Amino acid sequence: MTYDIQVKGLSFRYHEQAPYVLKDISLEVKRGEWLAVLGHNGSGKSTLAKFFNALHVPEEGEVMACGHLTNDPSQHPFIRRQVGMVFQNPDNQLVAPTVEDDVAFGLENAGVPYDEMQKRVYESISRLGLSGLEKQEPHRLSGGQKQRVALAGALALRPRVIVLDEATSMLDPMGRQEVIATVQKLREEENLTIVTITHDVREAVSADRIIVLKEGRIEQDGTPQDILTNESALHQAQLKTPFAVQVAQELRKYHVRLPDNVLTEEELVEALCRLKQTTSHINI
Amino acid sequence: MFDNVIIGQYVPKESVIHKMDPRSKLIIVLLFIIFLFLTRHPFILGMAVILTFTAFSRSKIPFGYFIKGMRFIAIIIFFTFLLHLFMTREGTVLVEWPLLTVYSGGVMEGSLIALRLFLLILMASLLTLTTTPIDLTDGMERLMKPLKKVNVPTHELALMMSIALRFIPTLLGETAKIVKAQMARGANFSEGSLWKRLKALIPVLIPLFVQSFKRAEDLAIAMEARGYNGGEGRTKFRQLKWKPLDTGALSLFIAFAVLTVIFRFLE
Repeated sequence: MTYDIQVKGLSFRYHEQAPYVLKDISLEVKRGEWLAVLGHNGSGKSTLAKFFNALHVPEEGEVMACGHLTNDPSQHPFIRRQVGMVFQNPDNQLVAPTVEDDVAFGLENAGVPYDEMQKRVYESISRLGLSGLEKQEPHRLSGGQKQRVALAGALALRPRVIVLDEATSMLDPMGRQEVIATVQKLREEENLTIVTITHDVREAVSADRIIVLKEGRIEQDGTPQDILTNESALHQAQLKTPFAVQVAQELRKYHVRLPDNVLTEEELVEALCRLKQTTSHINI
Repeated sequence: MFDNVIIGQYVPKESVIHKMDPRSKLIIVLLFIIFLFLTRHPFILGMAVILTFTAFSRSKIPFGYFIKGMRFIAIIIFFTFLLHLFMTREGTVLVEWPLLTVYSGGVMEGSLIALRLFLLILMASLLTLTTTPIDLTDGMERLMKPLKKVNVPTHELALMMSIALRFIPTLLGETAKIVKAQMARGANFSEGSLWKRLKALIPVLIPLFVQSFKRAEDLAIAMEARGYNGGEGRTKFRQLKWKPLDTGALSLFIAFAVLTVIFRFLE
């Protein structure tokens, strides 16, 4: 089994007198896996994300990204090409005055030759459904479009991992849906490893695996199934149970026999429809 | 407020001038301005007028648009004209008033300055009207490249300029938002003395600055995450293409410059 990201015994504080933000974190992300790191504000989740592409370098413990220790500065250009990042604020991560220039920014930094760069920029733009906006200025785009431009910029470098650091938290519901759908599509087509850092349980629903962080420690590690239906554990980490799970749990109290794997609204609707077909004579 | 200032605005059009390389346009404008002020020979001035107006007509920018944007500049030109008109004491006396005397030399001098200023503004605004700020920045970076040898950070300067251009609309939007937020809290920007109005701006500027620093930090992290490592070993997505058109246009203006020098020696 190959791991794209390996973290061993990582502890971190911003300076010597400061309290630890991350405490003895160990985790692995498999090739092609979708990991969601869930946590409340101040749980250290964004700090952790910055270790994945060597924006932070460990002093205690070690971090390997795509097989390279992030401690070695000579590997940073390689690591940053392999691990793309999309940040929270759509306005603060686009560098260039037009969409195409911004998508090219990472390629320019990597010293990709002109012809190859042209090819990859337009390929990336069309992959993310941004065709026609090549010459557009960032401030004329919607939040969801800006985040897709950021994704296109990361994708143009042909990374193995994409880390989304609260990338949808500043978007409206439409934009959020737009970005999540894009990530899902890319993951299927490119066999990308995805790490989403979020406090929104809805975003974690479609992940393969969830890690819950609380005060810099890993509290839970398991499938969405295990974690999102475990109300007390989520509550402890100051997270909300997804709405569909809440509804399902309430219904179960009334002896409505719903399967355990109801996580999303679609699944809930489907389970209820099925229930109606099998037990049309139910009385509650 | 800025509707009447067209310098620095870009008008997208499909024209020969728009298609020219920003480098050649920059060099031409520079040449033109320098040599325009070296001469007072009517032949050369006539040539300058023809060159400017040819360039302008080829750019397909409506002259009305330009004139509308020139109102403010026209006042400056007019005052410069008056100043030269009254201050020059050469030639024959044309008008004699108790306090003012206008000499023929004054009329000449004033008109000359007004004409030069007008042509200069026309050419300079033609540059920005037909070149996007990004291309302009790019052109400047390329032209300044030799300065790199004497440790002028040309790449960094160009990048700074392009980031500044990128963030101007963002910051304008943010300012509007803060102004509204402060108005909702009872701030008043349109009444009271000048001093009061200036003071009312402080609660706008402080959040704006705080936000800008936050943005700068975020942007720096995002740039680092995308592998930005200074100008070393970087390739360029935007390639400037020097076309025969540019060689032609530049030759024309070099000819103009050479003629200017020749006529200056003949005088």
